[in-house]
Amino acid sequence: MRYAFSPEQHAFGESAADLFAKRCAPGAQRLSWTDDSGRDPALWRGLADLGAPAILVPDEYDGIGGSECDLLPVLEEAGRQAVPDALLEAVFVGPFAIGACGSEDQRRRWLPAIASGESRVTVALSEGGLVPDAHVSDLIVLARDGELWVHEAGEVDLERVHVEDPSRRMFQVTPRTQGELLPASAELRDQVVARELVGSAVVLNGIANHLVSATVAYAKERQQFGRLIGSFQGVKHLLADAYSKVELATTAARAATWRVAAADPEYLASARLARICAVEAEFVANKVALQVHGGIGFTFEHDLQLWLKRGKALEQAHGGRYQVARAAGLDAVESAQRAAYNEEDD
Amino acid sequence: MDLTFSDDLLAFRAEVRAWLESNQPTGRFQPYYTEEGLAQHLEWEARLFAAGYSAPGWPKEFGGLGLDHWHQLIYDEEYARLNLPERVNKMGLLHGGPTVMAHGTPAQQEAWLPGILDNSDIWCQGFSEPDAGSDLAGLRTTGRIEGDQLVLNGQKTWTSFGVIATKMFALVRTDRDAPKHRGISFVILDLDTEGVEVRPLRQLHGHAGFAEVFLTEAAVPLANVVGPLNEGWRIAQTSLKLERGMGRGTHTRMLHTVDEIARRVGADPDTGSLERLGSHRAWAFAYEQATYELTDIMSRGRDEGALPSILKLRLSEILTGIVEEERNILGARAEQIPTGPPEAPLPSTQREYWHARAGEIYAGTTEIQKNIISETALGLPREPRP
Repeated sequence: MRYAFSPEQHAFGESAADLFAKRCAPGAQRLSWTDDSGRDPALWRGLADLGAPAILVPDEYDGIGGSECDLLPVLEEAGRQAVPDALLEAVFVGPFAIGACGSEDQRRRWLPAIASGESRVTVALSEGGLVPDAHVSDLIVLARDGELWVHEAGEVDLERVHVEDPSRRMFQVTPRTQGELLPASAELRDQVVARELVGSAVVLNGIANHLVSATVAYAKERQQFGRLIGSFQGVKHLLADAYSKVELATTAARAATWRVAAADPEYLASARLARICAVEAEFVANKVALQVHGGIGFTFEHDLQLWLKRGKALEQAHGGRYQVARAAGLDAVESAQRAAYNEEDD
Repeated sequence: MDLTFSDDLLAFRAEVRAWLESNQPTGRFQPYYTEEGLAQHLEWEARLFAAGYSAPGWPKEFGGLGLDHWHQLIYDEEYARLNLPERVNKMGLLHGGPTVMAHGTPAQQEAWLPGILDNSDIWCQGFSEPDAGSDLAGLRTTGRIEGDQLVLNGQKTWTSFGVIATKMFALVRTDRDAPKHRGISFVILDLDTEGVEVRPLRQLHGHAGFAEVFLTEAAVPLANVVGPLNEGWRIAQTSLKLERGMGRGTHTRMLHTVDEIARRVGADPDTGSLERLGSHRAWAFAYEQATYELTDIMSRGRDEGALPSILKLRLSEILTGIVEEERNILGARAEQIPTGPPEAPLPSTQREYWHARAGEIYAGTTEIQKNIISETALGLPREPRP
């Protein structure tokens, strides 16, 4: 067993981190807030050059045929640097959905362009839900009547819906045509859902990681009562609590990603569990970060708001906090009943 | 990343499971502090010893199975899965013994280790004192050197297994003028030494598992000091670290308790909340995976940093959350127990509830763990250390 990233995975994450630092540092993000698109084509080109959208595309469609685990460091880093783009959809859920659920013809038409970055994909798995980055996407995967449909950009009407986080670009998408059905079994659609759950957990862990580390850094600078605020137990203990939760949530998300990639029998339940931990850990990190920053953190000028607002958005996105917890509760009931049945069997 | 168990580990799991299943005792034991209960526990220990399963983590040269961290984890998981009896000599097996292996002389190892293994000696830990809990280094029990003897005076308390123990590994102050962490020695004493008095101390859940140990001019050989004189604090770190990182089967028991809650909620959805159940299940999963990650780090000989403290902190909070949930599901029935004297041990649901509450206190309180984590992992300013 090995929990650490491989050297290649680690290097991949570092390259993505460098790219994010160059293209979407907080200053650049602020400039994008008044820009209708809000998206930097150079960031997407950079990610395509790194091969990010090709990882989950199989070799025979000009992809890399890698594992979900290979993208973990990139998604964690996207959260850590509050990358505004819907990368979870564009490099993780979208390419997988089309590769796993598409017909041979659909794969051949769409996957090579997805792998090269020429064609960008976005996804909304909750029916009627808002679609992130639909304005810069060439393919839009939507859930409708329990099935997955693909719409090409020219076949939909987009209406921007404004949201708290000025970096996010969310759209109500109204298809003008029926679109193309992805002929997937329910089991394959579950695999798509599991990737969305586990991927959003990973991004949230990255956000929470930054919220804790930025707040620790602030607590080592800020003085009150003639001493660093980080020397007060009231502050130290808040940070230790948040940090320890984020650490466990990070481990849980890595383990669940492994199970999802390996199609472990428990992959969907594990993805839900990882997502619950990530949401709850980020919730605490979010609260502690603003509390310890105090007044300065509540200003529009302070960059902390990028992570605070992104975190609050992602706590509820991708399945909803309560819905996922409820589904996990049902999983637990089922698995306990199975365990009891097996015991009787013994 | 690679999160699969090797074939070797799977085979070992099957082997341990088969042995434990066919040799496990039938029915529940009486508490170890009763005569009948102690006999039951010792008989079980003898069976484990005869099969070589007594000390899975001890090196072969000391009579253990010499298992690496992963094999020990599997062993602990299987032991916990069957809810087998508490190891009555765990203070010797997990703390005292390994500390003697790490810091003791060959003569000390030869004198003490076999007795732990075959349970001719039951060990207990003499660290806490009435006025030295979280501030352990503030301990006041003294050791006065007289010739080749160390004469002990003071009081140890909250001593688990103290009522059945024959030996204690203790921290005593041997240099009153040194700074408080420097004047402490680590010593092994026989509890039948003259001047040692052990009084049982009943715990709030009715379990008489604690003792207080009074030391009055109790003379032990100076040769019983482990490691150099006055370096006991450093020696004790071995034991404290083992205590924090221990409990490799804890996640198994935790998941089992979540299953019990899930069964109750499944049987009557009105009794509990699926959302909360999902959350408890999630953190139990995270704790299990973090236990594996720590095992991974230890087995590679890498520095585990603050991870043992992180696990200890989260473990106690996750577990208290789960047992509180169980009470919420039981509602007004949560307080009900069978007829009996007020000090009688509580039945299992209530006992487990209160035992989980103790977890936020023992082996370094929640607040001490938060100090450790914020100072070592986060680099925040240290607490004043006079």
